[in-house]
Amino acid sequence: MRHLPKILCLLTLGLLLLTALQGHFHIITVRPLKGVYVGTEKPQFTPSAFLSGEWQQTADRYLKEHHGFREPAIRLYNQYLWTAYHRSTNPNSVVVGQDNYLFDPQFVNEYYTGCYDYFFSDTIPDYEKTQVFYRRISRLAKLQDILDEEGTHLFLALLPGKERIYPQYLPDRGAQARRDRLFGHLRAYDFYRQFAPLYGIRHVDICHCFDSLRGRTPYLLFPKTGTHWTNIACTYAFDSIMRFMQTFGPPIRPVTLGQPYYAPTREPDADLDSLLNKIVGIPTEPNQYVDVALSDPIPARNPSLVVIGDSFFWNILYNFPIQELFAHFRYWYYFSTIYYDPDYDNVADIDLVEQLLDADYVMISHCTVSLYNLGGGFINRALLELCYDPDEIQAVRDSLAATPSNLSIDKRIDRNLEQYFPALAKSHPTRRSTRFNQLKH
Amino acid sequence: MIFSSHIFLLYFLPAFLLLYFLAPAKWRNAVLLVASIVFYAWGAPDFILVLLASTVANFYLVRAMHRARRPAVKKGLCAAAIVLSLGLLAYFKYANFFVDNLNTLLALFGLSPLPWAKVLLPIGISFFTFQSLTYVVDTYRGVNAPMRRLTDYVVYIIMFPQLIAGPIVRYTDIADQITARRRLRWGECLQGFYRFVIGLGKKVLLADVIGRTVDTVLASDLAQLDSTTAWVTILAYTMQLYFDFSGYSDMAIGLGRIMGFRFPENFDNPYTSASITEFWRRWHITLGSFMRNYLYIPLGGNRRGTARTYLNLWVVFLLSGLWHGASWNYVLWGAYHGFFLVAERILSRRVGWLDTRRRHPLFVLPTFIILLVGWAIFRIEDLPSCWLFIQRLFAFQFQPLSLTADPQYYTTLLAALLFAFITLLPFGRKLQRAVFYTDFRPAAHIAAWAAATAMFFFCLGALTASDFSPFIYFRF
Repeated sequence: MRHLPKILCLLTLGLLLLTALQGHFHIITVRPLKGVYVGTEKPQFTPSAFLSGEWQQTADRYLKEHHGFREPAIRLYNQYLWTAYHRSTNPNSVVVGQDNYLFDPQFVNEYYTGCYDYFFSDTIPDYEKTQVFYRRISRLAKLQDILDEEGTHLFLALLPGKERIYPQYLPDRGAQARRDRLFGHLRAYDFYRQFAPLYGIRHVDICHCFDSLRGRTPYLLFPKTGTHWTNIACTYAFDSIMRFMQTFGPPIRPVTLGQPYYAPTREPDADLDSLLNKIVGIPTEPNQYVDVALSDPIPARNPSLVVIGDSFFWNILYNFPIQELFAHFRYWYYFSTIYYDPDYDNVADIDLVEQLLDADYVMISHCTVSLYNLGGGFINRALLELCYDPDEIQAVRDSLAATPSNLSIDKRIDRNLEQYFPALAKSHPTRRSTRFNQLKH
Repeated sequence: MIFSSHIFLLYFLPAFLLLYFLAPAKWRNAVLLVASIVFYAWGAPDFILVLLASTVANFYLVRAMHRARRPAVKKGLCAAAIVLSLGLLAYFKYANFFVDNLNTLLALFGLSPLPWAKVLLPIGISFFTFQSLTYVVDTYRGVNAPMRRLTDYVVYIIMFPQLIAGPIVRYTDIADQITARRRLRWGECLQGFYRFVIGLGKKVLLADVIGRTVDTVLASDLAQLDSTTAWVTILAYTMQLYFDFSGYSDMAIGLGRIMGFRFPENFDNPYTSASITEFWRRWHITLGSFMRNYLYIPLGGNRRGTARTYLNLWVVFLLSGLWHGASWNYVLWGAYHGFFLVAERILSRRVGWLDTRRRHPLFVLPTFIILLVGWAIFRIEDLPSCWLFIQRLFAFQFQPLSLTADPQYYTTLLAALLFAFITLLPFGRKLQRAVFYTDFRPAAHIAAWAAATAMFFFCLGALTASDFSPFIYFRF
């Protein structure tokens, strides 16, 4: 006992040193944190950076993100905040609703204010939204017509959002927010579900389907602690989508859905909970799951599919053997990053005309929140590249660049596409680009 | 570098302690010196040379002063050393303030402003200036002989535990400890660690949590504040300031103790004071002590009649206010406290039951309310906004408070209030004695060590988690 203080002192020092060493050598394996963030790059020491204090600031930030036992330390504190105050430890990405239902904040904003600009973190005035929606849907109709002639079947999938299906679990934002919801704000989904049939857009309204199923299924349509549709709901939904596709396009190999069974919540159904980075997850009832198996008959040729959409399609990818159902499958995530393409990572690098003419199906899928930015730039680019040559497009861009404006060139083109490219003003554009003609011959 | 940063807690501190413990006793000051230079240079690399140069100059001036035989020479050298220290403080801390005010005056007379490039304030300058002054004056007064070795003096001035935010350690209190510190006592080290962690907890788990909401409220439109929010906010700021500052002092005292130093206490439950006079004996004790010994007493203290005593008090508090920051609100805050101190003196002489020497628990509340208003002046630098906030306090437009809106804030505030006032109860005083001023027995050490280690790790989690907010995946 006489040496106890010395032992404890040295133990303290040892723990501090271990923590420092753990940061560099990862001596003990710890459960990693979930989620993505932009980390600080390792600072490069230069005398001038040191004297200005910039190096020290960056080093502070860097060490904060890389110190030893960072993961359990964060989990411990987050668990305290959750247990003691029932507070989201990650309010930028997770909002706590009623009965511990978790929501992505974008969905809560969508519910209360409508058409939350997912991309620019801003609310858009209704008159501006309407303009955007009309432009998008009329151009989509033109694009659908052009592609139909080439045997490429473009269609729109309107997917549900958690806020639309389970509004009773949303956090209450007070009387003003409720009034805003009732009396204002056009929602993208409401617009497109109404106008897609009027413009002759081929579409499947899964959101409406979920709305009608709400409370009538033995399984949850959206998980308590996840952002996206449940594993089982998305499986049934994509099965329906594939049936819908075959009403106008080439056959797809059939699949068999097994019997639903209960299982502990799987990762995608608890992505929001995992993002809270606590020690213990929020208790949930076991969810139902269903397995998908390939069936017969095998079609003579597997069709090809391009999906342009948001993260809801990931859940489908978890369940369906997509690459066995479709000969060429490409996922143009938000029409930006490309998945499942061995040659390209970003849509900026692809020959869009070639890819579109090669595809049997082009599916634009959006949930209620991301529907605001329908296609994410795809529609304009596809129309332009199908009908105009790159030098013609560049000439317009150059002339716009010479004119000062607060708006970006892309935004200006989006607002006045038909003015700058008159061939697109026709209800059925007949002009085709040189690249298109090359590929056709 | 600040104590509640990762670089300090996880890299600088363990590396320093390892070297310090391994070093032979006679090398420990050298280790401390190098570590202190690194510590300071991390935050203010371009100022470290100025600091070292002024410290070296001061050391030789004081040595020459001590050796001088003629009183006039002695006095002259003493004045030169004081001017050097205060000159640096005046230039770095007050030049911007002076020029800004001068330019406002010039503008009033239609004259063009004085061209001036803003001077950056070096961290800790207020503290090490005062420590230099105590060295000069204590040596001049013959309280202590000057340090023999330059390195010992530099260690005294820039010792990293108290360099940034005190406590202000008088030369006479620490001279012997620097030159003839006892060998390491592990029990002391351990209790230093406990004290450090208590300070860290005060800062990270109380002050920082409360401060986030206080900052948000005070950054909002103050004209729209109802009186309830205004009072709760200033109450919260009062707690934030106390736990932040006293937490930092605890960390400094704890670090000192780990190294074998005994720094003076800086806080003694100030909000339990029953008068403003008592508050200043309990709040930032080392500053109060400095002001008394090096300003109030040289001005004549209370030896030159009642009126002069009151004037001296005012001067001390005006300067004390200005020391806290180069802004008029700090001057006003000093004057506000000076006013109440003088008022208390006058009243306690004339009204027996108001005698501040007889502590009356009922006076704790009115004293605390005076302090709250004072902190509003202290916190809100912009004087019109400050006045607006005080108007909101006394508008008596109370609205019900939504405690569920931010349960962490209110719970933390309640915990802070409990800790701030707990020593009003005998149990609290007993607890304080047990935690801070008792040598632990082995069993108590095990429990305290486990609690302190857990708290340290918990604070680390709070510091790390504060801005870790990942997304599920990137969006475009």
